[in-house]
Order: sequence, then C-alpha cells, then structure tokens
Amino acid sequence: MTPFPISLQPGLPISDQIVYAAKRAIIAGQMRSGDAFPSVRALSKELRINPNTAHKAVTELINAGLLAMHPGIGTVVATPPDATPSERTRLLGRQIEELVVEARRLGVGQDELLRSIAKQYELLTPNTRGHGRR
Amino acid sequence: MSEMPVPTIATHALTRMYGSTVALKDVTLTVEPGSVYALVGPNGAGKTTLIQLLMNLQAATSGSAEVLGMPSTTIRGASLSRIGYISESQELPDWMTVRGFLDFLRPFYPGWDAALEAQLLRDFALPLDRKLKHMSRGMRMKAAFISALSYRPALLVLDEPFSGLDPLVRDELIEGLLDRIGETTLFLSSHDLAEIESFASHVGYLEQGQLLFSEEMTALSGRFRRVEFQVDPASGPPPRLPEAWMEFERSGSLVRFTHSQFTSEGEAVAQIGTLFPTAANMEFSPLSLRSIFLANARTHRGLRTRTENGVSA
Amino acid sequence: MNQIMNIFRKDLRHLRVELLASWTIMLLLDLLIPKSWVGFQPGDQPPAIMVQMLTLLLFASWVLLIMRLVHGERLAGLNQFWTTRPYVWTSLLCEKAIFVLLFVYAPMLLSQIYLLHRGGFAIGQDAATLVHNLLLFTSSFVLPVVGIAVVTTSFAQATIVFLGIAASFAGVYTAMIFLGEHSAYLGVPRYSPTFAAPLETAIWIVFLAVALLIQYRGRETRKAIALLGSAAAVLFFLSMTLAGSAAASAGYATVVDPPTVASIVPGDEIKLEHPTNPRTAVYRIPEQFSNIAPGTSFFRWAERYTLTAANGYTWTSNWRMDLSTLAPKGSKESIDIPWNVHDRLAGGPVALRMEFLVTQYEDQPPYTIPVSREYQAVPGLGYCSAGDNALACRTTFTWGDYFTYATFGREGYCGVQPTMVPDPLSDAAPPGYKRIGTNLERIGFASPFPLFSPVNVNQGFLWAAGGGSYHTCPGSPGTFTRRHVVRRVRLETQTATIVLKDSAQ
Repeated sequence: MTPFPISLQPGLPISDQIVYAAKRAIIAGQMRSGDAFPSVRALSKELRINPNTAHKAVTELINAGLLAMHPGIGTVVATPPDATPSERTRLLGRQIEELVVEARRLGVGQDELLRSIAKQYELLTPNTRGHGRR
Repeated sequence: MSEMPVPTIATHALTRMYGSTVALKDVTLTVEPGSVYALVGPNGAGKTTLIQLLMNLQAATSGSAEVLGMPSTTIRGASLSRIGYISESQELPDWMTVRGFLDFLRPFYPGWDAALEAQLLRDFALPLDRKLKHMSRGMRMKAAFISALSYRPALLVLDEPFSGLDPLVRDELIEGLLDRIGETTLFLSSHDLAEIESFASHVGYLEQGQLLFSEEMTALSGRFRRVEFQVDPASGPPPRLPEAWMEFERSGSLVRFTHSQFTSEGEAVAQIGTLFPTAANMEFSPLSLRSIFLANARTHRGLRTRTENGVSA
Repeated sequence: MNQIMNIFRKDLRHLRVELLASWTIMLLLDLLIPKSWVGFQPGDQPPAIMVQMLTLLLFASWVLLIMRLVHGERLAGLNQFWTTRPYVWTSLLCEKAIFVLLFVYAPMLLSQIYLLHRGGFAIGQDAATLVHNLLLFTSSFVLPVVGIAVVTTSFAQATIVFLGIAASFAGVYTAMIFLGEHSAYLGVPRYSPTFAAPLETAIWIVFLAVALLIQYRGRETRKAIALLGSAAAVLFFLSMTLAGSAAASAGYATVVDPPTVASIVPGDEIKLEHPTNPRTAVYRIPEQFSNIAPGTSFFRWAERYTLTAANGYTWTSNWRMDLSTLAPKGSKESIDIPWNVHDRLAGGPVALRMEFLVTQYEDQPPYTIPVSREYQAVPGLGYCSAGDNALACRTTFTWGDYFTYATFGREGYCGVQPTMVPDPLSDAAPPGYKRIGTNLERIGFASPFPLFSPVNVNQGFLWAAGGGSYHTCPGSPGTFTRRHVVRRVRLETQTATIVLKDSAQ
C-alpha cells in the first residue's frame, strides 16, 4: 500500500501530484528516513497509473534528494536536507491561494482570517485537552 | 549511433467511405513504442473502423497505415503473432472451456509464455474447466485478455475492452494491462475515460471520422483550463471570441469558459484583459479527460451556450 | 504441420457428435441396403422409403458437418476472433480438406466397397466408376456446400443463402419455360456421352476451387461470392445453350459408309398438328431406317433438322433430346418449328434434312439361364432374379452397354414344372406362349448427382409386343443379350421435299 496519503485529481499532471504528496508526507514526518518507498511497479499498480509516470515521479524525488536507491533493498526514504520554513510554506502555496480567494469572495478581511487561523492552530496543538476537536 | 525508433503504428491520411458516408477522413497519427494510446470520441466517430483498418479486417478507401513497420494490408499469418487484438464484439468459441481455448491458441504463438499464462489465470481467478458460454461477460473478457497477453505481443489493440463490465472486472483487467506497459505498446479505444486517463500516455480524439487532436496526455491536460472570472454586468460583449474558447457562458457578472489553448496564467490573464477590460478575480482550474471530451463533443455538434441569462444550449 | 494437427485435434473434439451421427446413419444404410436387394426371392424387405430417408439424412448430416467444420474458423465478417490470429492459410485449408477426406470420403468409400462386396461384385472392375462417383460427389455436393460455408458466418445465414440460390434458380427456370422453348427438351441429354457434361463440371470445379482459395488466402468474401454466383450463372447458361448447340454433337462421327440408311418418307400429306400451340408449329414426319445389319442396334439421343424454303431461306433447329431405339420399320418424328420461321417457310415446297445423334450397339453372344426366383449371376450385368412378370437385376453403376432379356411367357400361370420348354432362340412361339422381354441397364448417371450405394436393383417389366399379360415359367430358359457400344455416330437423312400444309389463312 502507498505509505503516504494521496488522492489523484484528474487534470493535474499525475507525476507532479505524486511528488507533491510524497514531499508533504516526508516533510510532515509521516514517512521517516529509511522507510521503504514503493517501487515504480508497485506504485503504478497501486495507483493504476502508467509506469512511466510513476518512474518520472520517483526520479524527480530522487533528484530532489527525498528518495534514495539502495542496491538490494530498493527505494527508501532518504534523509532530506532540512526543509527551510519558506520551502514548507511553498508546499502550502495552493491551499493558501484558495483560502485567500475564498475569503475575499465571502468578504472576510485579512485580520479576521488571520485570527481564524490562529484559533485553528490552538485547537490542533496536542497539549490541549481532547483530540483537538470542539 | 542512434536510429529513430520505428513507430508502432503510423497512419497516413487514412480514409474509409461507405458509398457517400464518411466513416474516417484523412486520419494521420503516430503511436510510439512503449506508449499507451487512448483513442476516444463519441459513438459512431469511427474508432472501431480505424482499429479494424489497422488490423486489416477491412480495407481503406484511400490512405495507408503501417503497423510494426509493415503495411497494414499485409498483416496476416505470422505477423499476427506479435499483435494482440481484443474487441468488445469478438465472438469467442463458446463451446470451448477456458483450458481448451488456451490450449488451442498456444501452439500458434512461438512466443507464448506458459508461466505468464498461469499467472494471469491465477490473477483473474478463471475456472479452467468452465465453458466460455457458461461464463459472464466479464469472465469471457478476462479469457480473451489472457489469450492476447500470454504471448507478450509487441502491440496490443483493444476496441472498447471495458464496455459493459463492472468496475471490479475493469480494475482487474487494467491491472493486467499495467504489467505489460513498456514491453507492449497499447492502443485502445474506450468510453471509460476516467480509468484510462491515469495510465494513457497519449490521446487521440475522433469526431465524425476526423482526428481532431492527437497528443501526449500531459500536453492535452496542460492546454485545457476551465476559466472563471467576473465582469461588470453592464459591459457589452466583446466583438469576437477566440476560437480556442469553448463552452462560453455569461450570466450577469460571471463569465465562464473552457480554454483549449492555455499556455500560462500570465498569457491567459492578458488575453482576457484585452477582451474584457473589466475582468477580475480570474480563476483557472484543470479539467479531467472526461470534461475535455465533453467540451469537444458539445462544441463540435454546434452547441454553443448562449450568453445572457446563463441559458445553456 | 503443427497448426494442422492442432486444429485437427480441436475439430475432432468439437465435431464428435456430428461425426458419430453421420457414421451411425452410414452404418444403418450399410445394413439396410443389402436387405433391400430382395428381388423376387421370398424375404422381408425394408420399406424403400427407409433407405431413401436415411440417404437423405446422411447427406443432411454431411451438410451439417461440413458447415460446422468450416464455420469453426470462419473467415467472412468482421468480428471474428479467429481472423486476428496467426494462422497459416494453407495449413487451415489443408486441415479442412484432410478432415473431410478422412471422415466423409473415406467412410463413404469404405461403405461402397463393402456394398460392392456384399453384392457379389469385384471392386477392381468398378474402380473407374467409383472414382467418377467421387468426382460427382465433390462437384455436386461437397464443393457447393463448402462454397456456401466459406462465405457465410453461421448455419442460419448459410441456409438463407442456399434458399436464395434455390429460389433464384427456380425463378429463372420458370421464366425460361414461359419465355422460350422448354429447356428439358433442349439439346443432348447430360447422360449421353458428350463432352458438355464434363466441360460444365470442370468449369464448375475450377470456379468453386478459386473462390475457396481467394477466401482462404485473402478473406475476399465479396469476390468469392461473385465467383460463386457467376459460376452458377455460367453453368446455368451453358446447360441451357451448350447442349443444344452444334458443339454438343462433337464426338459423333458422321457415318459415310453404308449400310445403315436413315431416310425421310415423303408423300404422305404432312399435316399441322395442334394448330393452337402458341409457340411452335408441330409436324410429324415419317422416317425410316433401313439396312440395319443383324445384331446391330441404334439408340438415339437427339435430333435436329434443317428446313430450306424455295427462296433460299434456311433454318436449322437446335439439337433436341429424343430418346428412342431406332426401329427398322420406321416411325413418325415430331418436328417443332417456331411460328415466325414457319410463316417464312410455308406456302410452297420445303426441303427438309434431319440428323440424329445415336450410339451404335452390337449384340454379343447370348447368355441363357433358367428362369428362377433366386438371384443368378449374369456376366457383365450382375445378378438377376425373375419374377412372375418382371425381371430384377442387382447391378452396379456405370453407363454404356445395356442388356436385353427375353423368355417365353404363358398366358396362364406356368406352375412349377412347365409341360413344354420353349426354345427362346426360336422365333415361333408355341401356342399359348408369347415372347416377353425387357431392356436392362446397369444404373446410369442420369443426373449430375452422386449415388451413395454403388449396388442397386433394377427392375424391368416383361412385356409382350402387342400387350397382354403373360407369366414366366420357372425352369424355362431366359436369354440375356449384351448390347455392346461400338461407336457414336451422326446419321443424316437425304434431303426430301415436303409441303407443309397448315390450316392457317
């Protein structure tokens, strides 16, 4: 099974989506260094995609230093160079854009939006009681 | 020294007429080795005709085609041992059992891989001793798949292979096909766009016998965008809409259309701005293959949405 | 070779029911047919209808077998799973041919050899006619069935095609009857020894074979159908025209030397018969054949006539079928003249010349055996059993020579031991006795269709000149005379002048 969450959307380049999802998972710590990463073949079958596309995604991840090929073992998650905060923020780029567009549409001001974001962070911080849900 | 690899399939102005009815007109396309080419289009567009011409089941009225480097009209006998053909309307010998069917076909193919056959039988879970006529459509299609995959053909041609099958069977068959990608070039026609979208590398769109486009999947999805923006409701319509803008709709202050020649957001924004000076809040979203297909189909049937009141045709 | 064996194995498995059915029917026929050769011996005879029905069923089972055999790898149509498989077309065609040869031809041949043996005949003597029968079987049955099978995709479709062909033949034939002369009387008959029938058969086989080849080689169904259709049309056309044309008389030598003379006997007023016949004017011409040497006889197949008017207008008819033994004391011959020709000829003396195509026979030394209900051997003919007023002979198929049989019959029943034994070679009949006799042939190929059983029983009613019913006397002698074919000749009459008298204005 694919060790990172991914839901393929039609229309967007598939290899980009995989790279993005894998990157997120690695940076978020869901996949740790040394964990096994699915082979091109396994990825292709799991996601029902063209093996060439899977190959493209894996190659890109290897070039980005996120995956490494170990002879005899296969593809494993590599120790990534520490992701800078700006890099991480860049990963959120799309969601931020959507959020801002939507907020403007609804007439929510920037300050109010930032307040809501801060509130959400509070709710999700592990040291609050419960599971972070109201 | 490197050579240009011979295309697996190449057609040149392929035309097929039935009297005065046009089934195919001037179809020119190329399929590279190792690719997965999806031939899509509405019913009656000529997909089956094209496939039958390639497989030398019919003769073209004019034009030519080469398959695996050979003229398609010479495809017979031994050359067919490298080509697999599966069609939704094939009539398999109903009276044979699965085992009998495969036993019968095996000696015709020098490249038949018995181990692969056995593995596919296991994967598809087909009962060897049941007659084909006592099996469901899905199981019969699986048997047809095994009879075409087991000899590792260089080219596999599929004519609506998933039609009428339930999602589980479709999924199993696709899994069987995925294994072959790379070694085998796939050429398939299908209505099932959602499923083939993820593993097709190239797409050809046939409409009323004409090939409207034939390109890489990434290029196709790269140039189609659903565009939405807002305008001043009082502003008039532009003198002329670009041809690349399909399914244009306007309702009050909201404008929506499908852009078929999208390059970058920057260029698109500029283009929109020229035609709609009051345009704002432009949003671009990618389209699934299904939506691209529908946009083309609707447009080419002369269905254009009417502006104002948001009435769509 | 590998492909041939592979497909063969599959066909054997697939068609085992059809094979078993046809072999069972054949076996039943092999058992029943000898039982039907009862003649006049006491014994139970299976109803003749049974043998006929079983023979029909046998041919039907072969049609089914061949259709299913060919349709297993059908080449017509688009959606076939087979046509995208890497078969070698020569191997496929070979396999089908081998299957038919092994499972249709071979069993039939074995049955025929068995029946010959049971009938008391040596196979060696009839080998040529067995082969001829197999050729007919191929051209009249197997090839047409295969022809229809290779251009169709299912048994239902093939049946429709066949019905369509039959209907169109019936239609054309009906049209020809109404439009022109009845083709049945046209020309030299098929079973007379001319070249026409073999030529037609050869053309037919060539067309069918080519259609088969182009379908198997390139799946050119349209062309194959066109070939089949045109073969049928050409054949039909030839049979309608060739047999009546001058070409049909090739092979019949013109007799120049005497002594046999055919002549027209003018003098009698020749009257128009059936004035209301809408198509032709019919006249009866007295004819005569003289100087027929003893021991010689002629059988006529066809005739034609030439009429020349005083002004030079000449008309020659087509050859017309006219079967009869030439009688020395002469007879009247009907001639048909189309009205438009007649009108140009009538009103004055007309020169008439007639020609006849005949086979000349020579009597062989007679063979005498006592009349008996039991079958007795007659060399060259078969085995014959005499009944009360008929003769039944068990013979094998061929054509050519025929036999005459004569014995003396009694007006009343003869009883077991006749009081007087008449000598059949004497001309004078003792009081109360009359010469009775019949002609007997071995079965000829009267139609272009093959036969299943090479042995059959031919019956001839023993009739007396002048009629009346007479009974054979067991124990008294009966004589067989073989009439041996000498040659085929064309006899010509002299040109006689006649006046056609009609009741027209």
